[in-house]
Amino acid sequence: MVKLAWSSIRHRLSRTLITVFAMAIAAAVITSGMSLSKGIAKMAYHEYRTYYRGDIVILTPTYVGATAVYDLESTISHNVLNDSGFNPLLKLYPQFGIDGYLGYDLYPYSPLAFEQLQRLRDFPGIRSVDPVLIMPASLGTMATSLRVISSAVGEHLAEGTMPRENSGGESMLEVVVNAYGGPQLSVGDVVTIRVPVFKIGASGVPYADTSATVQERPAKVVGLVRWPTRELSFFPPGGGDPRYEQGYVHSSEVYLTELAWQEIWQQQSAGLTYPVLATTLRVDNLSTLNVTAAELRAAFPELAIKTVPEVARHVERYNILDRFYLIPSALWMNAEQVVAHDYVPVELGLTSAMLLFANAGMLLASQMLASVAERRKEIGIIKALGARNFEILGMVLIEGLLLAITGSIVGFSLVRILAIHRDISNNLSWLIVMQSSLRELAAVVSLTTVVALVFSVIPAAKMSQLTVMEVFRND
Amino acid sequence: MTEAIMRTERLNKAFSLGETIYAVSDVSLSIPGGRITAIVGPSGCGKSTLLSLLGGLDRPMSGDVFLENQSYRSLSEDGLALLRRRKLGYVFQFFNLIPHLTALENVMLPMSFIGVKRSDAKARATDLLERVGLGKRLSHVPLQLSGGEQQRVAIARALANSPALILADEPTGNLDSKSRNDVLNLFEKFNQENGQTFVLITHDDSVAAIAHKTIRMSDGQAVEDQ
Repeated sequence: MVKLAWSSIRHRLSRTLITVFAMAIAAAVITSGMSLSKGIAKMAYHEYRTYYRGDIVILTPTYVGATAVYDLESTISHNVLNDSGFNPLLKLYPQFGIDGYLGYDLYPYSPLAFEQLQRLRDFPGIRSVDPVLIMPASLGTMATSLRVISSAVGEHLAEGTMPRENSGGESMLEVVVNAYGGPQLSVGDVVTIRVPVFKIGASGVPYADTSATVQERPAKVVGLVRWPTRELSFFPPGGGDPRYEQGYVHSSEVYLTELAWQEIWQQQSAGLTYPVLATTLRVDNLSTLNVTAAELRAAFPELAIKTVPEVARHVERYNILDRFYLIPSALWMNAEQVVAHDYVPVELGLTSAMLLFANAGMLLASQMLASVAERRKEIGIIKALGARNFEILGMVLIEGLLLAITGSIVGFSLVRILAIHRDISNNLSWLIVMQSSLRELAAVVSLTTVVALVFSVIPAAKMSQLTVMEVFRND
Repeated sequence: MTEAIMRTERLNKAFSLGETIYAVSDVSLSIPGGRITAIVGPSGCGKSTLLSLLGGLDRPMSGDVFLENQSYRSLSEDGLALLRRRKLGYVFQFFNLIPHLTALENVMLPMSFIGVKRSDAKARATDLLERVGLGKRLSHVPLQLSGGEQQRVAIARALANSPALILADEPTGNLDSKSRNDVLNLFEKFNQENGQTFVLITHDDSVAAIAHKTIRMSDGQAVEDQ
């Protein structure tokens, strides 16, 4: 039967070529989609891993939420849901989206306790704990957070000036997050950071005392970076329901000199415990990342714990696509090497590719159905010679499968060979490239097999149900 | 007296074309093993319908066919298919070769149904094609063969699984006189050399002349000459 199917494929050359071509296009698109998806996910993972400086992000629930946009000397003008790099986490933790916002009660942070940090440091599988220290402040009328960034952020800057290059040799960077509507700044500008008096309440919770005199500190802008966002939600001035804006909004992060940071932070918080609102962890073994994260969640149910790949996966779906073109090729390569473990999703592009595949499948079905009439006699002869219904069914299904799989391998090869060449040229290991390619090939062929089976069933059933007499009488 | 390899019991088959027309009416006959039997009659007398019933390609309204004492009526569709592949061979008027298979592949096809090893099937198909005079035409597809050659391929195919009985429906109806003689000679040759049983359906008395037994059909009824 395989021989008959193969012979039929060779014999009906125009049908074969059309069907194989359609399948090849679908396979090429789905292969491209998978590569694109994988690349984006890896890029997102890499970028966010750098951004969070770790493999696992831990936040206190109240930190994930809205930023108050206010005038420190008067009242809050409006609240902006955090649309900085933590925006994906808002989507991951929708319950914090509104309820946890920092609106009218300024900065009632629930910091990570020292004891919690110590437990995290001692947790099995954790290599390092990197707390993020945050102090509320404002720039103009824009609420900001001053954060300690203990390592260079240059790696994840996709646009703008690299702070390190403009810092005059000062390595430490401090960050002011400007969410929305902040002043336009340039590198070299001297800005005034306004910081409320920072106190620890009776319950040990730090807070900003707006009744005290606001301190003003000069700071020099050493770098700017723009983070694209696709969704912005804020409370309009004067109150009312929150507004949501969809679009491509750049939010700037302003990087200041270490000196400015030290002046502001140390003077402002002298003698107080710094609130630690978030921390990132690095794990010893990336392959057990999910296990470690699950153990952490069990041990710290009060904290919001996400792995960076989870965030990246989420970002891939919601945020990153728009900036895809901005990613330097060097990052792609780094991401390839970092993410040897395939825990990135392949959903992106699959929908359109699936539709194309369905289309190709329908073409296959229509071609096969059209050949039912042409092959009536052939089927009649084979049945007269003793073929059973299920053997005819099998023959037609095999034919459909051969057509579809041939097409998918052709399409896959056309796309993937170029990618393999590029990867090898970029000094990626053969092993990683081939493993990845074979996985993708297996995915494409599996999908093709399903499509071919589904769409060949009807023509196959029609052919298998023909009776010898029905065929011969009509001939 | 040669023992019957096939027999029918009161076989009936009718078609409804406005009125019910009996193509085969109450036919009881026997086919002797190792002989050539001709079923002769004018066009429309029910010969081909009878052949389809004898070949297990169609079901009778009533009555039964027995091949080597195996009742067709007791067999399922799959059972009939298995019987066809193992015990019956067919030669059709219009050859009915698979157009995209070579002569060799066409002859090998029935053997693939009964699980003959490919190498064995190839050897037997080659031998059969040589015996029908087509040893040099193995790799030709039907379109590259003349009508007579195609019919000889069909005869080789019918012989492939060494069936108990070969049914030939107007096997010379589409051939010139030389090819006709070649084909008839082959029937006689395989009958004499191998004891192969043939049933020839024909309207041509000269074809029936090679038969050991003739059954005449008229209006769906059969009369055995001898």
